[in-house]
Amino acid sequence: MKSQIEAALALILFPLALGIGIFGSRLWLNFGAEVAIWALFAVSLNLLVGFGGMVSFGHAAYFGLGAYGAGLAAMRWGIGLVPATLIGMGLAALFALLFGMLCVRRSKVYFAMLTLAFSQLVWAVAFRWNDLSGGDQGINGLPMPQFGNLLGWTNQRWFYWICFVLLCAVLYLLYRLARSPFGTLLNAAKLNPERVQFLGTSVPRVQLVAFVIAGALAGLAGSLFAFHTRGLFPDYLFWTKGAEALNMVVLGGMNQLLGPVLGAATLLFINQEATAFTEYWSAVTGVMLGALILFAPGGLAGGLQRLLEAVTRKRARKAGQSVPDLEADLRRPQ
Amino acid sequence: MDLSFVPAQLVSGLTTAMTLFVTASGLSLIFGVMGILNFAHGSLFMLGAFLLASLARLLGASGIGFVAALFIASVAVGVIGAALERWLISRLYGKEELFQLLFTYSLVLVLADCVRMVWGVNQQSVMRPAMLSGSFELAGATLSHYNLLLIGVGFAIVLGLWFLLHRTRIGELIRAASQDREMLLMLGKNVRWIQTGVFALGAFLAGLSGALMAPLVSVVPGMDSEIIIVLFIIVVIGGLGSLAGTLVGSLVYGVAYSFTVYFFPQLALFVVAALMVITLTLRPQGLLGRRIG
Repeated sequence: MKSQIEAALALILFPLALGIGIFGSRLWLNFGAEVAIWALFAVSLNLLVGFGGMVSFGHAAYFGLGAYGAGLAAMRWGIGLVPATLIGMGLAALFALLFGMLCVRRSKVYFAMLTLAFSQLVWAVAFRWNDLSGGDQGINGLPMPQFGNLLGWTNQRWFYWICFVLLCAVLYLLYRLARSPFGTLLNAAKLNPERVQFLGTSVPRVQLVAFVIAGALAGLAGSLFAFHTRGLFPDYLFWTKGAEALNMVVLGGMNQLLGPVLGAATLLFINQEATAFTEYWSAVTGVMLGALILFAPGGLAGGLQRLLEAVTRKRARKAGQSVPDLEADLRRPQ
Repeated sequence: MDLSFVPAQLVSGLTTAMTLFVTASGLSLIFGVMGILNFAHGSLFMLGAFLLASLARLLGASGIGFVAALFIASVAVGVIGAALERWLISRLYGKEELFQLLFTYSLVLVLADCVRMVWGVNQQSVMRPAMLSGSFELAGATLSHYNLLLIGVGFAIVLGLWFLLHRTRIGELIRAASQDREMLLMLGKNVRWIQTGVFALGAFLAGLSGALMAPLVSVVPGMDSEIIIVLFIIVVIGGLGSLAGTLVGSLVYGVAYSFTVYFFPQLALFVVAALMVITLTLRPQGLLGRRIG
């Protein structure tokens, strides 16, 4: 059932993405790139939250570090998109390692608190260190990645395709990761850490590796974001950036690989439309998030899953077969 | 060497520490009894500050008016806390920590915008009442009356909480609920009311400390994010779930911050963060914490 949902989501999202890339106007390419970047960020967070059961409230730090790393490298040393992005990712991964070492051994509650605290520390540095980061004003005027006029495409179109292809590559990577022994252990550690420990695996070590991978991927998203917005601002590091990604994860569905992608697309789309109506977007997302947690923790993808199950069961009943509903048994309140 | 700064910084540190203890104690209490990390604690703190700002304007600059405003603001936040618990938080008990954390975080978003809706985005100015604006000299340092009020209230809360938890029936029930909720249920005690009461008390404390701090800090939307980080640092150093630990954590934070601000103002936050890291490395459950993390 799960793979069917993934397939369904892919079937919806993939053609849309291709369509934007081939036919999209400037506005759509811009929006598309933004969705791809946020989707990348959200998916990296979901590796921790949905897959690994590690609730990190400080993921913005790695996003922001990726942005600042890539942006500053591009501006100070005049290097291009690819090397700058690698630097950004490296910086993010380094900090993920440092902070991760202190965070992963803790209980979920401590982990949440600590990731948030460390993330805010990084923000405080960027906010105050004017010489390095431009302080609270940030930095403007990052050079736009140039692609010449390759294939007759504009720079913007190229940038969109790069973001999209990177997103697909990361999704594939995570897909393989989830099915690898490492991924299986990580997921198992979410469900029953003690048992995994008894199998002889060091749960903190597995979680640390996951934390670093997630941090590096967030850094990738951040690097792209810096080039997308052509600027660097401390609020890229403020914890609420990570919280926005968290919203996308919960909305889209934290139990599916493509859930956060759906969440990112949906939330950014609604954001575009809704900010015309209300300036209290935070409250709206808060209410939505709260309602999801209480009544539909599987998010949109979860809802889709239940829909598909209901349809399958109906068809089976018509054909005279019985379909065991294990998932409903699991979902029943204990 | 001129040590004249020591008393002044000690007082400043003690003031910070005692007021933060009032806030952090609420957080610790809620976690100890219900096992929920109330992310929205900073939001309740902010609510207390904003309420005081408006009430103080309404009730006048006299001492009595100010005290009344303090009281009303804190109780209001307590009531709001009780309502939140009754209708929303109570649905989280027994759910995965992931969902509990995400939900209390969603409350932060909603409460932040509620404050923006009612008060706008500008900073609220709060004046100290005339009665408490003075200061006096002690050991070469200038101590403001307001500082003493804060320290006094802080100590009163410390004693009050200790008395409540260790010398009253209700306190006994609260402690029992934090140790073994199910046993309490089996004994026929009304655990639901205990939980609501504890959350209301925690909210009251957050609101009170917010109201008390209002004249001293910048009352703006966004102060909730600032304070919650400070609270997290305190409870990590002191140990979550232990009130004595929270007191110790607050004192460590207050004094360290105050002295660092004197020498290296820009580094104050990093010094306390470093303290947190050191505590984590040497004693992960906090100085006086139980072995929960």
